[in-house]
Amino acid sequence: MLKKNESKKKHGIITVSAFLLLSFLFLTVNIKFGYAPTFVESIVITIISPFQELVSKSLNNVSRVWKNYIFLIKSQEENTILKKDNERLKFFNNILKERLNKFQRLERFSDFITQDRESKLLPADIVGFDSTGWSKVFIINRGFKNGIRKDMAVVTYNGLVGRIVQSTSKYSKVLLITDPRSAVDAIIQRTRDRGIVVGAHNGICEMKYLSINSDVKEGDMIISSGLGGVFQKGLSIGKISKVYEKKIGLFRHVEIIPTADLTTMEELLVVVSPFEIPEVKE
Amino acid sequence: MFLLYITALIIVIFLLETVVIDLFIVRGVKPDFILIITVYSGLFLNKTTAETIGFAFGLIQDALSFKQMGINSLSKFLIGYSIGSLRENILSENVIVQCLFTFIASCMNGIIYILILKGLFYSEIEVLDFFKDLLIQSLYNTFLAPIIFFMLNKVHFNNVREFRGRKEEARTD
Repeated sequence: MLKKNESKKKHGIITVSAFLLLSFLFLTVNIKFGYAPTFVESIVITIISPFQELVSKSLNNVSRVWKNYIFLIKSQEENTILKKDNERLKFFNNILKERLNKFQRLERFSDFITQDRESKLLPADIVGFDSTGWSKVFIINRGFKNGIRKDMAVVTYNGLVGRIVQSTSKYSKVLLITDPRSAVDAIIQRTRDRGIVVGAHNGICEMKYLSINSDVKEGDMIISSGLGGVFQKGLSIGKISKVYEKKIGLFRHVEIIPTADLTTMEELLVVVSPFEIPEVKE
Repeated sequence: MFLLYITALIIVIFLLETVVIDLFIVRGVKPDFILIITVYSGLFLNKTTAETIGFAFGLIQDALSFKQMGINSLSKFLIGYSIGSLRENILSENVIVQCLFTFIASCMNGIIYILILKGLFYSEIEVLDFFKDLLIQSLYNTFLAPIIFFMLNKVHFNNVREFRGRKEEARTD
């Protein structure tokens, strides 16, 4: 009996030590290799994500049938098309506005005009979200086999969603702009003041390092500045919802509501970098 | 057999949790079903099972997230281990005990998460905002725990009866 207890105790100690050791090993690998997916991540994504994709697609199909055929046969469908058109036009309008601004400024300084290279937009579907809720991360059904690379921007026609942080052969992880670990160099469209947009809690963002002298107002649009080499210039990030009055210090603090609805995204577009367009395999 | 049931159940819950996100969000916060099931395993099954479930499913959570390898597996393993160690000294069937342990486990999980992110990854997370969300999540988990425990106990009915019998035997000894 005593021997049995002792061996049980030994077994328990070995299990605890093994789990602790493995956890610390994973933490160390995580710190050391950072952005590269570990073999465990690749294996888990390869096994779990097809099931997630299956469930996600089935649910989307059920929801589509419900919306388009049972709920309202035609008007709902038309409405969806018009909404999508509207979103697409808003997206291009924003880019054109930014181009116009750029032309005006360039004209003013009698400078030469550089030509933007066309970016390619690759459609993708969401397969699954982060399960703990602490990270604002989701998985899409495009991987490096489709030409997706780390640091490519992910958008909807309404605005910026995030960037690719890890890719496996068929799936990629997207870090949302609302995650505290995300940072986007941005400018206020009206005043041209610069700052860094970072994720805050509850699905909103904040703009940091905005000059105290900035004439920022609620409702001002924030767009990506193009600095940093990840996000192309002119992508709509969000609208200022709150400006905190600050009389001391060097920077102002503003709250931003993302223009892209980050909770009910259906169609995502990955901006395949205009600087390095890989061959896209369908 | 029960382990097969619980594994299948966790996979179904896990798929729903990661795919049908809108169903579970309350004030921007989601419940952590894996944590609730780890607490259940600690309270009703044995320590090794609780540790293993916590570690294995925490690892899956880590793998599907970004730059979190080892965090959830460590915290959930520690929760499974702690509750599993206390199991014989507490009245697991009591709803208040279940709620209390789920609340403490949720707080412990959040604290381990923020300590590692701040201490090892130097993440720029606002601690006050994080604790506000943690409080909401802990309350949400606490509210859901008795319902999930009841459902799991229904499946586990025979095993629980056996467990009670063993407990009573131990008491009479």
